[in-house]
Amino acid sequence: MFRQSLLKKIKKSGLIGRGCNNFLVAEKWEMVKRVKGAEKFVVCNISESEPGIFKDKYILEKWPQLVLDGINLAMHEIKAKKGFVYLNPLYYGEFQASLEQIILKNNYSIELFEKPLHDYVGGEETAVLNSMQGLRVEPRLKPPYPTKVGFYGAPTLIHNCETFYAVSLTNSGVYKNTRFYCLSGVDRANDVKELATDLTVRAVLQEFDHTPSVDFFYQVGGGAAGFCYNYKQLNRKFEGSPAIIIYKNNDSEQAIVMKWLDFFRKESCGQCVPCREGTFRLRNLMYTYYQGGKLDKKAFDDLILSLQKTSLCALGRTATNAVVSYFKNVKGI
Amino acid sequence: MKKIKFYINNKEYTALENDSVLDVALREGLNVPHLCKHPDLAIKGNCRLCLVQVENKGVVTACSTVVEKGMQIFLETEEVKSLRKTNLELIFSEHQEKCATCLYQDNCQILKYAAEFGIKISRFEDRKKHYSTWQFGDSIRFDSSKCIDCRNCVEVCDKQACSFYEIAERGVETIIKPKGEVGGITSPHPLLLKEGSLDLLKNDVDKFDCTYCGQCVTHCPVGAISGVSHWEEVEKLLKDRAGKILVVEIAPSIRVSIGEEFNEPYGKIVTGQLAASMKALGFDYAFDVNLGADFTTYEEAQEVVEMVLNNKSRPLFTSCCPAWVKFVEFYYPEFIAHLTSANSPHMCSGPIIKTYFADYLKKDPRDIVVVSIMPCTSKKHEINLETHTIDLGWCLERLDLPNIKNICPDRKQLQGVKIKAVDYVLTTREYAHLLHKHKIDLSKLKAEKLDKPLGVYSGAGAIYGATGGVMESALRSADYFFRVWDETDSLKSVVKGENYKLKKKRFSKLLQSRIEFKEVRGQNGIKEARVKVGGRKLNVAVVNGLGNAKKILDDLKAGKVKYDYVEVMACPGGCIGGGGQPIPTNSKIRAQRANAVYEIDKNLAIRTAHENPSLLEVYNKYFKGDKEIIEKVLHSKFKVKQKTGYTIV
Ligand code: SF4
Ligand code: SF4
Ligand code: SF4
Ligand code: SF4
Ligand code: FES
Repeated sequence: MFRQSLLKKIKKSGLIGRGCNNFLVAEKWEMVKRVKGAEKFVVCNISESEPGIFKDKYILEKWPQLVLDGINLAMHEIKAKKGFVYLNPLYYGEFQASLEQIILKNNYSIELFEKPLHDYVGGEETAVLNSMQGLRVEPRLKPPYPTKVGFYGAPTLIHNCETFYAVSLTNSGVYKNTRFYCLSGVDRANDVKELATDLTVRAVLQEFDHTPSVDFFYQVGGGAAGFCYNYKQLNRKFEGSPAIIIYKNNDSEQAIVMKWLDFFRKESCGQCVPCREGTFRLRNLMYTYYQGGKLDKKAFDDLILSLQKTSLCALGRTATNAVVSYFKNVKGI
Repeated sequence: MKKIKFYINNKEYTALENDSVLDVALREGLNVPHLCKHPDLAIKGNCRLCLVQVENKGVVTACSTVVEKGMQIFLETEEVKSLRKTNLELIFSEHQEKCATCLYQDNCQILKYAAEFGIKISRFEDRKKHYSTWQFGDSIRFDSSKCIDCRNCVEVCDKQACSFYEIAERGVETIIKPKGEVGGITSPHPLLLKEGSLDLLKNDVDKFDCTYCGQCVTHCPVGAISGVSHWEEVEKLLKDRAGKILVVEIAPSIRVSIGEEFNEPYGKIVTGQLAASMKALGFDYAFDVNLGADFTTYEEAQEVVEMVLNNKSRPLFTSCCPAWVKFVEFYYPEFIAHLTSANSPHMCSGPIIKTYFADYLKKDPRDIVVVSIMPCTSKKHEINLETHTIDLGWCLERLDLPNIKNICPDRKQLQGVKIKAVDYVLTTREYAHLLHKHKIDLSKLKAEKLDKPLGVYSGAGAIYGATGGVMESALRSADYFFRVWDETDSLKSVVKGENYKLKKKRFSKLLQSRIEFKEVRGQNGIKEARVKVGGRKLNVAVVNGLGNAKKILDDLKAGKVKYDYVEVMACPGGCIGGGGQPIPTNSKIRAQRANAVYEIDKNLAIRTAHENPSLLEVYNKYFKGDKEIIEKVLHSKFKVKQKTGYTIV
């Protein structure tokens, strides 16, 4: 009785996954449930490794019990015997003791797993699974999706930590359609606020007491793959992670652009051609340009297209979001 | 099976369930460039070249996109073409072109694409110029400056249960390399794992070694891995003999594959043209290793019979595949005693050429150079093994070689002088390259005959090239040997090479004597059968692919299975799928080559080793029933192997 109603409740609430690809939580659960006879797993993904995103930490600090409860509820719902919390090494160090205590107290069949590296792509759900299986930390081809072929090939339900928090609240009927917004950047300490889900960027900035102006530009959706907007472009909903990073308009272009390009060059897993080579070539291209060389505009465009359209996973596909939107929206080129 | 209708370039096509877009396109003869996809391996989708446009989905990779009902696919939109171009240019930036020394030059896939797409190969600067070349033992070379990181080699070597490669580092620093620390490049990125989540062996580099099977060579799309080259030295000798007699011999399986290098269809039998080509290149004698295979069979079948009669420990394993032998010697030394000691085919014909045939020619064995054309890279290793050297002092002492004794009268001097039984091994690819280079078009040559006296062979020798062939050949002769034993209480006549005529007719229905053992044929990785030979029942297994061999060995160790006689070939499909064979090689192609091998057998008058007159003559006139001589000439010794690993070249 109780179990049926949880899935129903989630369905009714229209809860959306708090990772980065906006799927309906209930649908994912049903997909896992649909696979007959197999052993199943639940994984809580707390690798939180994109610059400018730190809400998982905030949640772990305040509501670790709710997160673990949520995992446990999900395990019951999809009939998984085992759940995992996949923690980046920093968080593992910080939260291991408190989480294990709760697990013990509640007698939950949940295990903590320390992510081997504090890298970016290792947070992608299939890379999480590879990592847990002792394989190279890199994304798998999709489909098949983890809901069908996941941890050691078994159907696996993976959610971000915030999703399990929301599941817990939904179960007890107190979920209020909120999510966590992160703000960081110029002259500000990192800040997290729990606000209504459907706010515009401008509204969220207001909640954080920031008044947009021509002096700033904003990276929305995370410090790596987020898009850049000027102060006039903020009446928009969030795509991807609800994180905003504020930059000064007169910050050095070279420093900003190279920061992004270096990041992706370093974080590419190296699996597929366009990203392995593209992130490297693009970085070198711009480096040469900033050193006073000529910009090979055709190569720049070709590399960007190849990354966006042909990369194997989202890392490569989004690796140029920031740079492209920066030039377009901030620099007006 | 469900059929799915969909559209490519607005034309309707039918796919089977789970077909990828690439599967259908290739089946229908449509051109979609692809590199990392190999039909033997998993879809990895990492070269990102097989791009196509799907309506409402955008650009996708054809190899990893499963066809859905009504899908509209466009193979060559402007966007697709331009993206493919960029990605191919990036691939070329990882591949240092060394075409002049590359065996792949004759049918290089990426050069072909480059021309098709009209790309500038050097648009992005070569990134791997300084990357090393590693040599594995004496057989395999991996030039990592040509590697495009597709990982096929890693996967195929894992499948071969050797796991000699690893993927190290990340991002643009990713490198495919032999396991362990190599020349300044740091080792695998650390996967700190929880207990039990990983086969700990995986990080223990000393536990892995290359068996030289060459499967990584045939699965590399860009020719970064190759057999250690022997063709240059052979070419030199062909140009300037320096007083040597050049003898060349062809393995059973290459006559059904080399045609592919000359645009012949898969499985075309070109024995006669091969003979002609060897003469055209300038070899003095061209022999057939099929005869050598008959020797192997003749010896091995006796071992099978003796094992049964004397109730020796089981199973007996074939040992004519050097990669399999090395696999046992390195990974499963506890099974070494189970390997038949009978030499592999060219290691039977090699020593016979350097003794018996040398005497016939009145030549010093040291002046004879034997070149084997093989489907195989591990044979390059085999010819260097101590057990395959010929001790000239011993030869003069013990063998009936009147002419050689005349040429080299001073026996003392030759004491302890050892020569190789076979001097060079050319892979099918190397030989085809030699022909291309010398503008000899095999397909245009008029067929000739191979040379006697070592040119007669039986169907049993012919089928060695396919998985199950060695087993079937041995069973054919074992059947006869058992009967000889039953009638004469000994195998003396067999050892002497007398053509003993069985009193009970061999092919009467009652006795069910058999030539064909179809149950051991076919491309399955593991085949098991209970066969009746010579009135006895034997449990046999035929295994191809080292991964399957590992499974069988583990099962034997665990007591899960029991066999009397087991054939193992390291390569999928046996030698027709060997590491020296033309590229591409895949399951379909292997099946067609195998069919051709059985076709040859079917059309031969003599189909058993023990009826081969050339063979019987050698036993009769030359070995004269002397077991010690036979032992020395036709049998090998095996030993536990330590890791050889690689060297930097
Ligand atoms: S896009 Fe980048 S991160 Fe993703 S699989 Fe390819 S190389 Fe790896
Ligand atoms: S030759 Fe065979 S064993 Fe050696 S590395 Fe290649 S695939 Fe592995
Ligand atoms: S050596 Fe060849 S097969 Fe291996 S990863 Fe490189 S390109 Fe691929
Ligand atoms: S199966 Fe044949 S080609 Fe392959 S390694 Fe063995 S002998 Fe060589
Ligand atoms: S063949 Fe499809 S991505 Fe390589």
